[in-house]
Amino acid sequence: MLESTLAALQVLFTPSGAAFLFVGVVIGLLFGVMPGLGGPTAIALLMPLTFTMQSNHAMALIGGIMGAVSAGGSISAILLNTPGTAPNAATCFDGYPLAQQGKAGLAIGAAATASTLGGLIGAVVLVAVIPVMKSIVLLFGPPEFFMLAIMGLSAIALSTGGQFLRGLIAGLIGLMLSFVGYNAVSGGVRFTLNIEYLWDGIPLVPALTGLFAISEMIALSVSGGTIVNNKAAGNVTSVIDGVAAVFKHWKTLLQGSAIGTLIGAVPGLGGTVAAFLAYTAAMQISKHPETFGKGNIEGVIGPESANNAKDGGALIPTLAFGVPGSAEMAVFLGVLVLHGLDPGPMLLIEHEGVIFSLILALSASCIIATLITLTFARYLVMITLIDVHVLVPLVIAVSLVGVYALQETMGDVVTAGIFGLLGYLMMRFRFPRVTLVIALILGEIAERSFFQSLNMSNGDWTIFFTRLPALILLAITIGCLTFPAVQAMRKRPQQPARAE
Amino acid sequence: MLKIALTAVSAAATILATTSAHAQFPERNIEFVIPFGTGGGFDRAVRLVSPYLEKTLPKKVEVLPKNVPGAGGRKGTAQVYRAKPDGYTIAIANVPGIALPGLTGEKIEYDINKFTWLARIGVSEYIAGVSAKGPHKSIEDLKKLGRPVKCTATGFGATAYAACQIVAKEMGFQVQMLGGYKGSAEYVLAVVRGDGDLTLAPIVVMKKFIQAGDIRGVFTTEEKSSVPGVPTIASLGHKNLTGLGVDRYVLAPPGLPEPIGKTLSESLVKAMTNPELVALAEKTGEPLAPLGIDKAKAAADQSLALYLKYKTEISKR
Repeated sequence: MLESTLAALQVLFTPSGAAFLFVGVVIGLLFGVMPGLGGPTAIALLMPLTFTMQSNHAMALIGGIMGAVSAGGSISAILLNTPGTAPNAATCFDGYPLAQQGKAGLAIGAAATASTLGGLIGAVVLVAVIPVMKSIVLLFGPPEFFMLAIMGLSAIALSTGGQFLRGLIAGLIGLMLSFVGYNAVSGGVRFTLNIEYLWDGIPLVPALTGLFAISEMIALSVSGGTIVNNKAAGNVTSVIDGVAAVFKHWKTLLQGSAIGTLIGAVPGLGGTVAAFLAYTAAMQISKHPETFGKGNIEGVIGPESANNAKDGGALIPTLAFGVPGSAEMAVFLGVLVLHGLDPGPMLLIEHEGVIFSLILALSASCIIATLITLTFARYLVMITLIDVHVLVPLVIAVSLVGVYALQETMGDVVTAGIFGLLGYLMMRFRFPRVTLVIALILGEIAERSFFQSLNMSNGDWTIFFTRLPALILLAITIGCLTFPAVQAMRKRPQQPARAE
Repeated sequence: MLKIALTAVSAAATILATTSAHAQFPERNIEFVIPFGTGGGFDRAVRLVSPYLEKTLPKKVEVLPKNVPGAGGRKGTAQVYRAKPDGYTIAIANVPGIALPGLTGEKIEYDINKFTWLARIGVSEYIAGVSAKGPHKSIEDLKKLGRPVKCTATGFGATAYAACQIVAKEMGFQVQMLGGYKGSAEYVLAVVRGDGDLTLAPIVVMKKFIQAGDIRGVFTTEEKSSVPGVPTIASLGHKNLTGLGVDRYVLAPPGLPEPIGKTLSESLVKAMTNPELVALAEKTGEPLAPLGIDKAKAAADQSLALYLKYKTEISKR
């Protein structure tokens, strides 16, 4: 293993290896920043180019992309409330309010640092669990997926921002929207109003772009001014504070990285789910869950660390069984195959060097992407001081072009528009958007894994309570839900309620 | 006078240039629709063939793969069915998958007989497998379970789902289908994990799991087994199911002008004989079996006929 690592390092430090890595990082950052485009698109587009490359160089390029995409995506999420890639949507909830308060530097610093550290943790965990990776992948089946989804959905109770009933209503609407489209278990198409466009369900990227970016731009053009609230404009925090914040909230970082790695290692869930579960979990362990959605830095650290940790995690099932753990990995498998490398356990035995090149490139990319981001952060932050008359048309045009570019259908642009309007109305009438988004993302998994589990057990409901991993997840969920209440009850006698 | 003559000549030249350009397909880039997501077998096949197709087309244009996933392939297929029949939109198709929703009584948006069947890319038979860690070694062992055999697949309307129901009917055991998995690698993994007892998957996918010692192959629908120790379905007494599998074809919208169809089909077949592609396909396990426009539709019908016989079985959800 050490030998392969050294060999991979040697490749990475040749001028051509380093050049491919750097090109990968830059492409990753750009595809990340552009709303709509993301890692899978970047890798799919570059796939033909890698045909003629040496395997090690291809790994450097792709590792560079994978490691950098989420750092790029977090920038647009924080500055413009526009998730650069779907997993970055969770970063919008707290990153953008921070930007509004004039603390964009803090948020970008924290996001970039959390991404790097998360990515490195994911890579270390990957290398550490290689000997037992098969059993880790096999630990999670449909009943566990269901419990994971329930765990995430239960956080809706915490994220209503004081508007409990409105939050629940928004959550239920999110659930209903998540069921639109093809039912993978029974094979039928439902709730599509006979619109063919909806057969694959409501596409996530246009919906998120609408809910976050477009709705925010509508609100901005109504209110005028700049993204930064005028009174806070003087309060420009440094990027270094953001770096420090990550170390201060190391628990959130570790938790986010652990969730990212685990979700990455489980085929069929993906980066968006990882980021949202990390966000909800950060909220659940936070001392101040009520400040989430209003600019709590933990709400940036959690999802961003998960976002990059999942890349290391997603390699686990790829190496163990040749099954991709994320959307990027699915496309990456295609690259491996075209290079004559058979994804699966033989890969590690026959081509250890290639895999270590990828892991190293992935780690190096996280670091380089963060350095680039931190260097340019102070200039990027200026975006929040641009007048809305200039900013709004620009952001709307760029977001809609990004949304269109993904599938080249006008339907996606219309979806972004509809969700933009919905998002604006929700803001206007104080319905929290976060509960809708959590439900929209987790609803499909909850439904699918629920029916899969019942099929497995011939309709016996006890399947959710008789498997140890599922039971542990359920216990954590119940614990998280009751913990605030228990804590409040214990505090009450000694400490009278204090306004915060 | 000279001026008029010059104008006339240049006008004639323009007319000539435009007509000859119309006659010469292709004039612009070709969109190659994959009605499934990125990363699957059909996606990989298109991305493998596209660069070589660019080389064999009479004019230098790009062939651009485009994923249009949705409803188990029906969304992308329906889109291509309605596209302009000018040769600039083609699609890869799963046979029998493309016909299954129609067979099982769903209302579908396209008529498979009206498509222009340009070429066949490849055929892949199935291997059936059980978990290598489990006690079962054959279908006979599974029959002794005393309950329906649980078989994993992507979902109702998918090829392996139907194939499993057909095998159950022929071999005489009760089957309960477990659907909802995202692709063949994922539903094979589900059997390793113990979600189900049995699964059928294309040879390329299954071989890997068998070699790694995670799956035990119980039969193959190949004529001659390519995996040591896995018996053919014929040797188990079901010769009629030999060839049960999933094929890849290339389609164009109905009403494609004949010369364009011929050009596309010939270019496709020629691309697939490129030694570089053949070597790459061999290395990746992509089962190339090219057939041109004259034979493609008949071959597809023949593959379909095997599934057609079991209409009642495969209509069960």
